[in-house]
Amino acid sequence: MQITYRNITPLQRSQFRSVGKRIDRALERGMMSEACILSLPDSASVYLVSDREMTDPIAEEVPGVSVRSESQNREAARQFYLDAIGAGTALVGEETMLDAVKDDFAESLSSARSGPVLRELFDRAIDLGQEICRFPEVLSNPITPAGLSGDLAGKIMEDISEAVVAVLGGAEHSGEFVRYWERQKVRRLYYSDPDYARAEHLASATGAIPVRSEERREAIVRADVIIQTAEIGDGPVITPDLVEENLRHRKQKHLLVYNWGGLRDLDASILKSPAVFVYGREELEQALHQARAKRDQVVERFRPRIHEAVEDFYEWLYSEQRFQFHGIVGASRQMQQVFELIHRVAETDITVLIQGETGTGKELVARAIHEISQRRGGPFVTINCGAIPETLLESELFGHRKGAFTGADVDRKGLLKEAAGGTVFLDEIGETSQMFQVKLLRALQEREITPLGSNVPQSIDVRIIAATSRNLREEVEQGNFRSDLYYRINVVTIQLPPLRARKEDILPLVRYFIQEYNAKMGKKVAEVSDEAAEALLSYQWKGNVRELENVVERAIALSLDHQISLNDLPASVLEAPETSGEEESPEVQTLEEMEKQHIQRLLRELEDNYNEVAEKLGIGRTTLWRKMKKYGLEREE
Amino acid sequence: MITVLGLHIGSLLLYGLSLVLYWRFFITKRRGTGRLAQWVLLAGLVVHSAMLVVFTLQRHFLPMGQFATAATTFVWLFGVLYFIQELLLKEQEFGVFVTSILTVVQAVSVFTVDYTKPLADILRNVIFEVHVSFMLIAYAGFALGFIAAVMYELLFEEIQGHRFGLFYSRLPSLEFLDKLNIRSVTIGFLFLTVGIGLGMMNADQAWGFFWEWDPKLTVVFVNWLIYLFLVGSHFVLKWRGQRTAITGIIGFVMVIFSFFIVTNFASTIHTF
Repeated sequence: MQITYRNITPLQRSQFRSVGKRIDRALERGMMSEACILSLPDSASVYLVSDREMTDPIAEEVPGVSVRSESQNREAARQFYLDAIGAGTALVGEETMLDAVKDDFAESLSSARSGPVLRELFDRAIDLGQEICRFPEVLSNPITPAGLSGDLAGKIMEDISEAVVAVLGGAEHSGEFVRYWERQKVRRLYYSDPDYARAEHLASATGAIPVRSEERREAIVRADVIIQTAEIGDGPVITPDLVEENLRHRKQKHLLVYNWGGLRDLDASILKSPAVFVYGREELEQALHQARAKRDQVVERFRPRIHEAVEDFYEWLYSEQRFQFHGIVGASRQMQQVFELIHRVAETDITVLIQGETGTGKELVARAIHEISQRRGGPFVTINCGAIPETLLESELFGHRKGAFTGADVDRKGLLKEAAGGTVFLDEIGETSQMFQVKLLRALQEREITPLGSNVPQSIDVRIIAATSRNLREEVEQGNFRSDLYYRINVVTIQLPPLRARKEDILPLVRYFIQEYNAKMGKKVAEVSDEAAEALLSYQWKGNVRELENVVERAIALSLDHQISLNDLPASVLEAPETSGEEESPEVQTLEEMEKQHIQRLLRELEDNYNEVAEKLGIGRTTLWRKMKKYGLEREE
Repeated sequence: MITVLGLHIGSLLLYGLSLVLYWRFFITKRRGTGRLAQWVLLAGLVVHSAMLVVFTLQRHFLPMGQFATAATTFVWLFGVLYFIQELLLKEQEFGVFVTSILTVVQAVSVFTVDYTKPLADILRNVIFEVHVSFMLIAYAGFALGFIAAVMYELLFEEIQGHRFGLFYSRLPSLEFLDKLNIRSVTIGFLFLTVGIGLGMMNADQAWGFFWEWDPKLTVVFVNWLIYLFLVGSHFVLKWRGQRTAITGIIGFVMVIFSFFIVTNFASTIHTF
């Protein structure tokens, strides 16, 4: 596993896009597995993750972009932490920097550039970054002009949310101040721009009060804090007279005049009043410079922590734990993609359909979605629709009133109602009748249910996750499943690949189950013999992970020493012919089908390294590309 | 006698130690140091309380019959007031200033105290005790106001002088200090006024007259005028900020003057 970091500059929109395109193409070709771009104040950082040595997809190819610095692996991971807090930039330790990184990363996740490795790195970096941003010595050293104005005001006034603030000057310099003071929720925020239309525009976005030039007098007289950012043209300006009027009006309360630019020739007489504090650009910049130096020191002090964090991260990167996700084990790329999809659907209340053969772990996936969603505090209810008689299923889900049918001697709330705030997992939804499907569709669409025997609908607050082992689309075509319900639940489908299509997961799964059953049975099995491993790998696993689990359980129970050997495996596993999933189909295949399956197999075995695949097949890369397109073998996004 | 003196000195040492710790805290801003300083101050107050209790039990009179004992009662009162303030406001930045005053006054008390001196009979009455208590509370208020005023001035100079130094990053806001100054001084002034009134009643019983232009009484009267001016300037003339701070500092210096100089060097009928 290799992580590469590149800091590129300059950063123009068009170049940014072409870098992104190049990265996407490299991802498609399988030259690397993950990537993300973080935009920093004056450059951008690119992080690439690959399973093996990779050729650089960006640096030389994009015209006008130069690489400022680069590093690999631990150095690169360390840089990710530093980038998250903006170390070395003008925004070091600013929470806004952290937010920008969050936005950039969310972007790279939604465009499927980033995957589990970078997500883990990101999560860890953000945690530490937040700690640094909230560190007292960072907070007490503001490094932005607006932040410094707030800090100064806070040293003068007891409660800056009580302040009246006036920002005077052009939008290009004032925007930062207006937004900052808006966030402080001050009592009143005036904004005066020589161009009133611009003042109105910025004000409407922030809630400030736009001030016309001729009305500026009132703002100047009432303000506790006056911030001038640039020349303001005609109309009243800060003069000794107005300052005096301000003090009279505000009963000699302290006044802060923050001159970031444009205020010249301020009479020395207003400096004499002990209630007025005037700051000029020069001394402010000096203060900002000092503050930045102090923040850099803090970051320096955090270096050992970052070092430790990177070591922790690498420990995770090389551990089996990486392939475990809420009890689901998957080292294969297919499963890693499933994990990523779980992450993404968990953020919303969207209805999810999980499709997969029996024993592939559909319920585990549903449970994982529930556990990382906002509903994790609520109940998780599983209903196997295939195992409950039709009528009972209805009253289970929707509830019934007393006397609705024979035997209904008490009111019963439906599970959809009872699981309020939680998730309902409907397993084997393909087994239900059309009647039931109509009712379920109504419940999903209206977000309400009507118990049997009642005519008062009740609103429900649950997330529905459905699962099936059938091919629902076929069922719809054959008329066994209602198409309207199909489209309603099929907003997002998570396809769980059968175990035989992801052989690289078999041994991690075996190790995982060995650990589990060792603990359960008090055994000390440590490994699988080579022959046994080979047998496990070549078996067809019609029952998928569940079958594998049972085989391992049995083997551990039977094993006499610290090893699972051939003798511990059931006869069925040993007798299985050594064939792969696709080849087992009995019909005679067309050449095209053969070709497709052959390419498919090589792609999987060589982990989508297109160069190698093309080489093995003895064709050019473009030819391979064309064939993949033809057979629809391109990597799905 | 030995116990009382031991506790007296013990509390002085603890106050001194807490001063050092509060100073360390002020410089380093380390929470742990601040918490330790708080505990040491609490220990000092506990030892000090024990000393006052033992003293009262032995002599059947609150420790306020002579200057040194009144001073130590003042220290205790001020310490307790500050400690409560620290627990409520969670502001530890004043600690270094407060413990400085505690340590100095307590030291003076330890070195000038005379435990063998009998209590004058005329002082054995309740009005006297209330009079002294009120005066002590008034002085505690002035002391707190003084600390706020000094901090105001220090912070003001830094902000006005465009230096972002030691005090800038450590002290609360100017407005807060201004308010703290005015409130403490106002409360102190009320107690001082009532305290002087009670003193007059006491004087009427003990000496047969309300007032006499004795050096000490005169200084107290001048103090009262200063604080009257300070409170009046704020509420009538609407003074605030630096002017109030400077007046407060000058006023408190006068209080110190009356306490130490007049008691020790001027001949007065008001012997403590």
